[in-house]
Amino acid sequence: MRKIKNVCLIDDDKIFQYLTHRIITDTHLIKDIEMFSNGLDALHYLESVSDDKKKLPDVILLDLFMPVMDGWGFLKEYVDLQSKLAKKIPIYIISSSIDPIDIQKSKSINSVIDFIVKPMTKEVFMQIMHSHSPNKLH
Amino acid sequence: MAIVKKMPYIVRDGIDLASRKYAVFDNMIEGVQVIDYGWRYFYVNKSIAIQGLSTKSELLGHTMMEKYPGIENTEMFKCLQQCMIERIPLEIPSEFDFPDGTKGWFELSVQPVPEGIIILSSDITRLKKTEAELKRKLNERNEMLAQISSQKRQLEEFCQIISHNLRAPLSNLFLLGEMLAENHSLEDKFHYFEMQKPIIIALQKTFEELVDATQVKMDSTIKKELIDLDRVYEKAKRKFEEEIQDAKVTVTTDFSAAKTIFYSKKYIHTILTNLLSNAIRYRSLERTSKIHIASYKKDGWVCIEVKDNGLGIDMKKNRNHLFKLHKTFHNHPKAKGFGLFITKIQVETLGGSISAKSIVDQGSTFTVKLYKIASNEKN
Repeated sequence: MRKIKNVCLIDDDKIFQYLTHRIITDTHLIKDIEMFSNGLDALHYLESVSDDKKKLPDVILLDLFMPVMDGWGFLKEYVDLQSKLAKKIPIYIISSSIDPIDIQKSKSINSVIDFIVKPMTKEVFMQIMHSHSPNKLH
Repeated sequence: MAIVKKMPYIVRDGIDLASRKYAVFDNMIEGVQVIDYGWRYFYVNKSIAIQGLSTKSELLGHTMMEKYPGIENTEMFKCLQQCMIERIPLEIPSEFDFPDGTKGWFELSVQPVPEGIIILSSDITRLKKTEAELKRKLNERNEMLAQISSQKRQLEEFCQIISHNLRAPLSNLFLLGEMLAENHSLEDKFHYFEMQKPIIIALQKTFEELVDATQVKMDSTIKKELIDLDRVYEKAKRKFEEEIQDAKVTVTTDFSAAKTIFYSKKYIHTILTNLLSNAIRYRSLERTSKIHIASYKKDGWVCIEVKDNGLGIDMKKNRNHLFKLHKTFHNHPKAKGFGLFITKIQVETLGGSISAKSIVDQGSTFTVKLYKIASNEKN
């Protein structure tokens, strides 16, 4: 897996968006953060840059409960979209849910790496970064 | 001689052994009757007389059709005929309407005998009645069970709300607290500090919504009264007067089919308010908005319907989520997914149900079955 440069954040909570943006930028490790308030907008974006390895995010942080298209809806559509993307993108669920069914369900999905219960602190984000650093994997 | 005296064995001439052979059945609990080829009662025991609400002498020698007119048209009689003609034994459960209007259930066992047929009958009327009673009780149980499962589902949803809707702002507050503790400029710190306020307000609002919803659930003794729908509607509409005018929404009503209802004033008010508010909020900007609210009686239910020509909802996708908490279907800033949830709880608490029909970009119709007419309304 490549080093993470682009992050895609999908969450309808504006404050969470802001804070997460802040936490991520404070690490000075990330080049670009794309933020979306629902699954559908994110899906459209991914489709529009599907051939562009540089623009495609290196990781997707996905919330579950959102209007218009929730996290589950996104994951369902993503399965079909995945094969058309220029690279494989790991997905982390970042949710407030502590429902074991949600956790089990999301972990059974191939592209989902982990289920993280909010709040996502700097430490948690650094762990994600670390698990994808090139000298650790492969 | 002594022996002769002890055992008086009398043989009489002319005794009709043939007809006496059935005498062993005389005192049996089961009914026994022998019907001859001409459908006359050849032998009946005491129980048959009791079961048939008749007497031995009234029956013997008469035909079944004389005693019970119309019997020849019954399913039971067809079975008897079958046994009479084909000479094969049969078992038949039978329901019997007596001339006096009462109903009885019998289990019949029919066998061919030289005289015609013999019918053994057990009166299972009491058994049948108990069975019906049991069935009724079982249905009651099942209904209760369904209610409990639905309450369990609601509870699970509640856990989810508490988990999500309280945890989300709490975790934001937590993060803000961390940021405040870190080395940021004073300006930044002030900014974080300011951000806490709306989160706390939202947190409080969610908390109050939860309290509202739990109160609905616990409010088992809801006061019902006769309510004039026109008045409730006027009161509910007042809240939206401005919106209705600004957006040029035409709202029409027709409560003529059910002018007054016997219901909770508080609930009907929130039900109408929520449905009206949704119809206004999710109007289409491409056409003049029309909302029609009507009451009517259908299939024994008192119903209220709110129909709009607004944005509509993709029912294929959202059917299962429509009345769930914090599910929203439009990218509308004011959509919170609380109105329909609380409406459903209120409607169901009073024994009713709510359903929706909708076509995207054509409009939605919400139908509330308030209550069954017979059980609730005093005439």
